[in-house]
Amino acid sequence: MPPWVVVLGALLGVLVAAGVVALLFLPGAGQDLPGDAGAGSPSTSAAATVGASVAATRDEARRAAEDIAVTLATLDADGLDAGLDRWEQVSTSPLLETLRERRSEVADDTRRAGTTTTAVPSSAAVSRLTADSADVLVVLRVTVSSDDGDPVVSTRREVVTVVRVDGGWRAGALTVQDPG
Amino acid sequence: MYTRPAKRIRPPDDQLFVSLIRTMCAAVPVAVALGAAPASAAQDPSNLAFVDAVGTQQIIDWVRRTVGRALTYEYRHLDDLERFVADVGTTAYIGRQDAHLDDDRTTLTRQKIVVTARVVGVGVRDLRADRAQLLVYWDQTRTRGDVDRTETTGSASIVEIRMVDGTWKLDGLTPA
Repeated sequence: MPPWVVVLGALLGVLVAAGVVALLFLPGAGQDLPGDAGAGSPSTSAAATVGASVAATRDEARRAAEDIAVTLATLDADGLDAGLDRWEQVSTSPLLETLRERRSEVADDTRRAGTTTTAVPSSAAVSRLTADSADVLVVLRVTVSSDDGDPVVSTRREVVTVVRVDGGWRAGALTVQDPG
Repeated sequence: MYTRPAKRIRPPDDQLFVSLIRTMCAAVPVAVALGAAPASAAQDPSNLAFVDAVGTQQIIDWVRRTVGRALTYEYRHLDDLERFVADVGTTAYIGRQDAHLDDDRTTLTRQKIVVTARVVGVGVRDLRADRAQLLVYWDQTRTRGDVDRTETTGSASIVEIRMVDGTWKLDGLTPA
């Protein structure tokens, strides 16, 4: 077999493999990401592009989840409507429906307690990634303040599911990971 | 969500736990010096987490299996923990843990400490060919047998692992 046939065959193989990876990564595909493009794999420009795209999605999702977790942990009794509006702005279904259903209950509880809750992200990491969604572990330092006493600081473990909506990221689910 | 007061996540307070954390923490400056991703790492295409899907899943599975076991111990069988860590830890990690375990063995035995740890969440922050950094949620049920008291706590930790002779090894763990 002529050498050029072998070379052409190898090139086609690489292109097909890269194409499969690219298809997996198309927005809306929804599969867990992606094909193996890891250390030691043959480097092609297509694979490198897909790898960079996956890396970008991963890092965007992580940053978005951190920001959203902070927003959803922040509420001031003196600015309830604005705070609850922000909760809804960073959320999507099914979390959004839950927040809307509980909005008045949350407002009443917070007004009664007179608390201000703020949060700072401590650490975050992606545990599942697709082209348009991710589960992200987010650790928050949460401070609850009121006029009655010293602020109470706690560490909260959360899993935030973020999904792409209209070119941005919103939370579709949020779970506080209590021990036990 | 703020609506209910969050349960405070308290680290277990027994001495071996503290020793385990001390042992693992000592590796962190090394990891930082070697270039492990900072908490607010910007977009980093050289980070292979999820880019290398197979490698990512492998370290998630390995950490899920290993970290829970490495934080589980019983006062009557501390040698089992030593043997396990000797198998899954880096040389530096093993040395640190052995030293701390020697310090705490008497107290653990007197208090009849039994601890079971379970990993409940794993995220990958950074993956390179020879090292990785993960965020791990783990729960720990601790029984102090001398006073018959049991409590369950939750922790979040940054876990550092390194590739040694083709095998992943536990190198560090520090509170997240």
